[in-house]
Amino acid sequence: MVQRKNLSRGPPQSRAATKCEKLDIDNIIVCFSSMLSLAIFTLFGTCLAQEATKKYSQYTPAELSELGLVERLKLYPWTLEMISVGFISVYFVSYYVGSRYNDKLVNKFINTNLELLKEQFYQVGVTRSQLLAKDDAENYSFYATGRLNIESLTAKIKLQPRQNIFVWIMESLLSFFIDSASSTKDVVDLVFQIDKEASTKYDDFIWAIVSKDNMNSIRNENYFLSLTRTAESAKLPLEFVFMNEVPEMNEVLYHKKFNSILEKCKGFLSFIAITDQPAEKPELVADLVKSKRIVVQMKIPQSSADLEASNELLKFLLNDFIEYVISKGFFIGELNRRPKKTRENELAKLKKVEETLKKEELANKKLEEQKKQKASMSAEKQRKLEKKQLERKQRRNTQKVRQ
Amino acid sequence: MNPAVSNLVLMLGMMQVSRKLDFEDPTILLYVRILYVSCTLLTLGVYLYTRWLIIKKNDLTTFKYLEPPNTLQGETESKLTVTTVKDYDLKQLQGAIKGVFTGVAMMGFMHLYMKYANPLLMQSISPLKGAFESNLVQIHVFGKPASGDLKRPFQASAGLFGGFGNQQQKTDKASIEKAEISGVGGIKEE
Repeated sequence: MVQRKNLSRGPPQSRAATKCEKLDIDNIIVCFSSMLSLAIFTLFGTCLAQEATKKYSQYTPAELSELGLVERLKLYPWTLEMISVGFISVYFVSYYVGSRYNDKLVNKFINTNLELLKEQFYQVGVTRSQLLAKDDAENYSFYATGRLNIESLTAKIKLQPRQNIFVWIMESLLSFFIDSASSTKDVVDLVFQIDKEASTKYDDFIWAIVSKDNMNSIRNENYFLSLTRTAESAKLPLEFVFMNEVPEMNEVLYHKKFNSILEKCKGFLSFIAITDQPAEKPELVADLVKSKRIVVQMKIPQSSADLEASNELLKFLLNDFIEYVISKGFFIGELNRRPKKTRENELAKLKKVEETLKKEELANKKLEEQKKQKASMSAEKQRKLEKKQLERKQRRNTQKVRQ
Repeated sequence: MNPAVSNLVLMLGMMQVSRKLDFEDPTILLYVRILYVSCTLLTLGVYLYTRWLIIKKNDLTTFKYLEPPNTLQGETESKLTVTTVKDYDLKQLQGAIKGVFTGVAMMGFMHLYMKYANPLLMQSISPLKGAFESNLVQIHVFGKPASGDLKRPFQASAGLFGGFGNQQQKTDKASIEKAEISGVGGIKEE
């Protein structure tokens, strides 16, 4: 063993030496990573070379201090450092590649639709000079404003954490084994906020076309969809269902262009919804602010066919559908009554919750006041009060028994 | 035969067999290990094949049912599930695959850490039997019609001791109508 290792001492060192010369020749263009690998190589070489003779830990401090700096560095076992530096560099490279990939996905989607958006909106982009806001490596926001009937268009894009490879792997594994851990997906949420004037022109109702895949989780994630009934329809492509408050609305709101567009978008579209209710379940009456919106959720389109279909969908929404809804979306009779009733019911529920909360608070306050009173009284008075309360309780109990 | 009864018979039979085997003998141990690994892989294979069949069939018929409330998590109202046959089957199948992995983890602990070899034999046969008896494999691989006991949503089998306190899923129209517009979605999670 010893002999073989001694023999192998030669090559690694000499290899390192030639590399070092090379380094001297073109040291200007040497980037960080190649230097790193070189360093690892040299150190690894020296490690191998020294292993056979005497280990670093076998030297006494006095002996070590006698050696020169270079000798000591050569002697030191660098494995732990190499592993950690290796990990860090893998992380850096994967971060770079992953976040670039995410950027590319978002840019492709926005660029496909940019021309259309510029035609439709006065201001396209989060500020005048900036198109996209990159919140972090997986969250992007987009904004456009300045169009008839639409207050704003916001797009929230949430991608998979590709930049953080360890988190990415962990999340995908966890989502398989634990139901509550949401699986990672590339989701685009588009919200067309209808402006105040146009909002008054049509009724409050919820009407949606939802993709059948994962529709239960879509219903669970969006409060407004959980107020609707789900129904299959012969009008729709097989991959979609209606979720609406009144089925008869389909006759009016199902635009004739929908069929061909849905057919093209079935690979990535999650839902299109007209709503006046929030996506998050309101917990107080104050949360129940009506804001009319048209919401579109999809997986980010990646193939060129899907990108084109997404463009067609947006074109349809902006050119036809939004104005169509505003002009046709008012109903009379039963069609109008049912949505109103749902809203009244929900409001009543919230009020009930708030009332019980208030009652609890009052009761708590009373208790605290009593405690304070007790604390301020003298010992004798406290005893008297307790006696009184006990008597009162007993009287009440006896009354109950008599009854 | 009732799966619960046949399971019991199988267990007793395997116990007799495992009593005859000498698990100290390394060759026997090796064979038992090979049997366990191959049976587990076969079980997984059956499930994955079913999964492939489900996706290929792509049955998008929608149906609704009420899930009984999870009293352990303090839920009081039953929750409506709106799903397609494909989604439902895939979810059930994922549960089954998860079960296989849990079994492997348990077995790993018992065999590698506690050094028990007996359960290897039992655990190699019974998951495979379970896989072939599962509703999804019956429907998709053996082509049995999805009616009667195999009607979706699948009811949990009562087992030997009868399902006490075991609430069943509801599919009647009245309770579904009521639960459907109850507005329980979109609850913000912290």
